[in-house]
Amino acid sequence: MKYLQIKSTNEDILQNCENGGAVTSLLLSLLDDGKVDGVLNLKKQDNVYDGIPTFVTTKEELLETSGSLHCAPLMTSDIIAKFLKDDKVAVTTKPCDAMAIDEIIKRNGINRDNIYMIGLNCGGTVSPVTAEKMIKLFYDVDPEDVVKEEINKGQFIIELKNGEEKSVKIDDLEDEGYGRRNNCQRCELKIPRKADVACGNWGSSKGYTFVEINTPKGEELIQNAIDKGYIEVKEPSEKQITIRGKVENVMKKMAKKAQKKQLEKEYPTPEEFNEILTRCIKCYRCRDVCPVCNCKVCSLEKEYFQENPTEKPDPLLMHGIRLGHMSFSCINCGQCEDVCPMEIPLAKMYQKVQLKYKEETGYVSGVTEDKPPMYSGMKEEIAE
Amino acid sequence: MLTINHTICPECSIGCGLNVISKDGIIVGINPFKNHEINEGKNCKNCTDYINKISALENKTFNYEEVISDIKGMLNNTDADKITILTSGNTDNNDLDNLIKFADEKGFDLISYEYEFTKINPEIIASYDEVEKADQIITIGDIFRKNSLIGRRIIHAQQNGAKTINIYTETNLTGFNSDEFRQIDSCDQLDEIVNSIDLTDNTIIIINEISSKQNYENLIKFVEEKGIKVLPLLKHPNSYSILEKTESLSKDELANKIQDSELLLLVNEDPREYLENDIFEGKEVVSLTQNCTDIGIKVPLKVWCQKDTSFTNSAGLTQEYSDAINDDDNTLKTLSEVLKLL
Repeated sequence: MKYLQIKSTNEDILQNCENGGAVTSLLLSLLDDGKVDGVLNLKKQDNVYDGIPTFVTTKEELLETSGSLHCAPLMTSDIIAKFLKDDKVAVTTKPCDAMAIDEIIKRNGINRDNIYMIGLNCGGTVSPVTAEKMIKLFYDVDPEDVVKEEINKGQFIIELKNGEEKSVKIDDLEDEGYGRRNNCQRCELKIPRKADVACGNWGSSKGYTFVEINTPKGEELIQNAIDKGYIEVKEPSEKQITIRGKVENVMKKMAKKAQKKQLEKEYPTPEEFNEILTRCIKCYRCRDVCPVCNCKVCSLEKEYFQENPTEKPDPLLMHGIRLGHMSFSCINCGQCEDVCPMEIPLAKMYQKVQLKYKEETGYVSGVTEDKPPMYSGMKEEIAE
Repeated sequence: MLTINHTICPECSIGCGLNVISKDGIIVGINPFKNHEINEGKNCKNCTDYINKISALENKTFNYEEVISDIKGMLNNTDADKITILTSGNTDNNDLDNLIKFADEKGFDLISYEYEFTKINPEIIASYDEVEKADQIITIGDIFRKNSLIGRRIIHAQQNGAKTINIYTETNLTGFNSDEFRQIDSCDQLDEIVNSIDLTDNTIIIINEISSKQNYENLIKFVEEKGIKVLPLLKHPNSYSILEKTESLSKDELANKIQDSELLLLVNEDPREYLENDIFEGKEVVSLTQNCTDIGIKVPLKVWCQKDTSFTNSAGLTQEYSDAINDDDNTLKTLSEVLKLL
């Protein structure tokens, strides 16, 4: 039983869900059974562009988190590592969340036995402010009228309050600097196979979630949800499995193309990078939000690395150190670039090094089972 | 219980959004608020340093009864014209309105010090979007380091082809990243330097530091005469409202006012940041603050994100946020609640 199509049996979930409501139903089964203390998920705030991580412990709260938010490129792994380490947690994971959790597990920051990972297939996320601008400009629609967004078959589709759907080719949007975040365009991992199950709509029958079961824990979770009546299932046809594979492969090809464009053709020269890095204000936000870095001790703020603010900053004293420390483990989640107040294209730098490293060693961060060959556990050992 | 909620940065006057993370009512960190129109999830070091400082505050309760009684006694025993209230842009709009009402009713002087900035005509203030579209930007001060999220707008303007000139008393990050850097000995030279620049119609002056009210007023006069725009980056999150609603003094005027007073109520303000430490010698002082100072009688208040808050930013935009912590165990009072007891 590798693939299943799942439909929730709960009417409330079916009303709010994107496809078959599998994600919320599986989370609910874990919560009801007491297998987890709570669920870490994204909750819609003011509108479809505004998601916020939320830790819920009741059925009512959980139901408020159901449905997809395509414009919420937030990470949850570091929240678990920093604030929920001792709790038993179920968490929804995009591929980058799953990769981040995997890397933190390798660094002993999260106990795999304590978490259930409900994976979400992902074609890429859009920065919310960009999304609103894009919807006004390309769709001639008031962003407030959008109730749902979807990336499917090369189209960025929006659904309006009145039920109308409008779509624009994603290539057209991205050529103009809109559409998915740059790192998402370059991302090759579309299905989070490190999660216990990976859920999505690629290849699924209408009203069902297509689920790939990745771990024994995932299998047990599904079986339990069937036995207790949370979900009903049917097997997908060979054709549906093939369609899903094709969608994944098309997206991977698009990612390779974007890598070539962004990491080769458009990649800044060393001189340009030197200039760009001179903007760095050493706010350390890139370090703080990195979902992979789990060091208990950080040297970056030590006095010996501080510079006189009236002198031109030396890029090596911040980004040289971080690049050497983290780039081999970069999962290309783009968080560092998202939070940089000085618009430094950090994710490009890091992914470029990671891809070179992958070419030589075969190591794919967040996917390969072992720790990176050059990874040193010394810092964690010191901290322990 | 772990909670994450939207709030606004309480550090400078840009008005950035952030998600504050709290566990069991204690602030433990921040998370990017990516749908915030001003900063899109980006926050600077000033913001994170401030949050780290606030995170160290674990005090949730305070016995107000005795201290309020003492303060009432002090207020009753001092002539109203010898009582001065000094506040700052750290006081939010609701508390500020109640403070103004309180001062009026009691006949106390309410003053502020906004680092020599004064109230100006809102029509000449550039919006953040206009900064991105400017074709020439003159910066006065280190904007990149002190107001990084406006630094980001300047970077966008540069990417759109804008020319940038930085004027400051010392080499600085904004200067290193500008097309031109002009070093000055003091802000007294600003007139002369700014006058020597060929202005375009779409020039914007961005300033975060000035040495005197006179220099600032001269600069504003120049902006009005040339028909260009200015973006003054004020010190605190609600400094714009403070300039609108209170009498903002120069440093010298403030020092004189303190000298003439017998009892000072410091509301979210610590003048030792810009005046000599011995300024309070021989004075009675009451300090009502979110971050407890060690001056006089201390009255702790709820911090900005533990209550419904509204701040007006440098561009005149008022943003309102609800209590982001929702901690029933926190029984600290807001300024407005304390004023009612006085």
